[in-house]
Amino acid sequence: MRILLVEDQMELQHWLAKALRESHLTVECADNGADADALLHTQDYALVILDLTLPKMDGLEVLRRLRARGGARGKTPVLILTARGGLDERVQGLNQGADDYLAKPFELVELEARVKALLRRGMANEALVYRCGELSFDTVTRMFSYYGSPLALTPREHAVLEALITRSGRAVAKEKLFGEVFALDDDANLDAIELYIHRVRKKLESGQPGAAAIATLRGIGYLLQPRDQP
Amino acid sequence: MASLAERLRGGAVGSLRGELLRWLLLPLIVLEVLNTVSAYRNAIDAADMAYDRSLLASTRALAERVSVAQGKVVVDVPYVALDSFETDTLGRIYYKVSGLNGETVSGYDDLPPVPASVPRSESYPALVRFYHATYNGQPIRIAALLQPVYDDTMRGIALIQVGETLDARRGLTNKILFDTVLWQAGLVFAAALLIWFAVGVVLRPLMRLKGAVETRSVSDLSDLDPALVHREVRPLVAAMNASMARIRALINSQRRFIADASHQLRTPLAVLRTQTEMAQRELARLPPGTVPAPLADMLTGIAGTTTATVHLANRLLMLARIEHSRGSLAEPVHLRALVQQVALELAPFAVNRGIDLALEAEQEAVIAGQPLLLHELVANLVDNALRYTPGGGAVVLRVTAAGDGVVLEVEDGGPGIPAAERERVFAPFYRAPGTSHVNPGGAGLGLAIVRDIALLHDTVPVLLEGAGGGLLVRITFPSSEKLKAASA
Repeated sequence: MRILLVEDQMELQHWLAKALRESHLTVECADNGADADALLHTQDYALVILDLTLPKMDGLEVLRRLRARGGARGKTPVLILTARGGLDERVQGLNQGADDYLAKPFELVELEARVKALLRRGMANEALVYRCGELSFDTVTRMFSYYGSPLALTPREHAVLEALITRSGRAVAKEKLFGEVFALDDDANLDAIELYIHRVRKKLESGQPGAAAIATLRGIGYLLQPRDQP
Repeated sequence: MASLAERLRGGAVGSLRGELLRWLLLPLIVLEVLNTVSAYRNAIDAADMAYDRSLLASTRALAERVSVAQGKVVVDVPYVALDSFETDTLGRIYYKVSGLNGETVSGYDDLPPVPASVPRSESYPALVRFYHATYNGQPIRIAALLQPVYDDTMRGIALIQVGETLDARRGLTNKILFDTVLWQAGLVFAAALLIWFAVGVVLRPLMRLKGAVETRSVSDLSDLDPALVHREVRPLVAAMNASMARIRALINSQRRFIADASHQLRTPLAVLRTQTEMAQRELARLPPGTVPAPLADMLTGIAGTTTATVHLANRLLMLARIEHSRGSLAEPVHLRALVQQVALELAPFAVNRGIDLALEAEQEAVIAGQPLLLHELVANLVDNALRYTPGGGAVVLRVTAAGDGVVLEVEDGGPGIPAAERERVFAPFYRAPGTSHVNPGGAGLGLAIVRDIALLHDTVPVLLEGAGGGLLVRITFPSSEKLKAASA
């Protein structure tokens, strides 16, 4: 897949391009806003990584022009990268149609994760597998497997575990989880979610390395993580 | 006059009331004294005129009794009339009738004669002259009347002099003087009272200005309303506002500098971070055993230092960004939801470290504030709590309604902070003793940020000892009056 990296700081551009190429992406670079705008006029990219502070044309202007062109090309996902990092700018950037926002200095892992997430969005049909230790979830077959064999779950247990694993290591609020497991007309108490968490937790119990575990944060929410993570 | 010199040098200025009293009362008293002197003079003239008239009447009464008999001037003195006159004027009466040749016909022979310089009185048609003299050691006033007398044998002019002591006149003028002085003193006193109260009334707008300055929050550097005070004092308010604008500009330029500096740091840090991570990946790809252990350690060290520096730059930027009077501070913020959001974000960190992170909140609590800043405040508190709590410990977050306000508590399972240290930990870059090995990446800015944001929300963080000996940070947000006012 071909992506465009717009960054005027040459050293950062060099290293980012190197890192992204290692993720099997074709990376083209531009070091100023005008060049980026010209490239975006004629080329199709799966993603644009755009620095905001650019010579010749500001990043936000490049973004505005891209979105103004419309069509399929105008919908190219854009990840904004900036050293400014102001809250106002963040809002402004997202309002202008940026899909995500990363403040410098970022962790490479974080950038790669965001890039993957944005690319994934562009190809919803392609298979995607979420993993947590030995537990995995295939978005196409919608099946869980644990230590290589299918995990048997009731529909509500399935909904609970799906909601947790698709957050890829982030915690889910209790209320949010409840909303995804129970329909609006279900006559269920917020505490009912505890019951399903408890059942899923039992099914995930395993003495071997690579086990997945659900942590409860009282009053806050739940988090699915590999048990033996450092 | 030393005080005047002092004032000219711009030294201490006394009370406005005293100043006004001095500047208004001193001239007023001088004017009153002049007025009294002039009034006294007029009183003496008026008394003289009144008494002179009755003195003339007595003199005339006497003159009518003067006649010529057998070639000689004779007089038939009406003692009764003179007696009653004496009774009326409370003084003594002396008289003398002189004949055509100046010889004494009747009365007191030694009564002082008419001085040559005394002019004829213009006030009366008769040939009368009034003058002051001393008789028997007493000052007296004398009327001298020239009375023509004649009969068949002779004709000429007789001189009739009647003098009276000044007791009555003195009595009257003294009474007039006393009344005048009393009256003027009363006026001065009334004026002093009026000035006293008027100053109080006039100063009221200045007191309002003082109140407006006193009640504003520490960080409020906005302009004062010149309409609070009189037109004459508005230049003072304008000068204060100009001074405040200069302070604002100074603070802003300082903040801009810190913000710019942190910005400038970010790009090289991003490069450094990327390079370090790439190097670590390269190293990980090499076959095990071929990498010298010190090299891997050094790389890990560089990565750690980079992370700490990034953290520091971010904190500095945050501190610079807590801009005063910028953005709305009165948006409704659902504090429980906000704390839960922060807890969700930090949950992986807590779970990885084996810390039991919990939120205790009965119900949602709405406060007035700036959501992004409050998020930063809570994130700093929770992050701090998690860093200082050892694995297996607990961090409890609480949101409770208390009276009109909302209380936020963050209690950790760490070693706590001794009471003596508690005030100091809010200072930027201060690290409590023994914390550098617990939290090596810390910059000592977290609590400074917390306090700055709390101050913007009209509250302060209070450090206490938790039930388990850990640190308990409590922030009581004031009732959302701003919120009510905004929605009304």
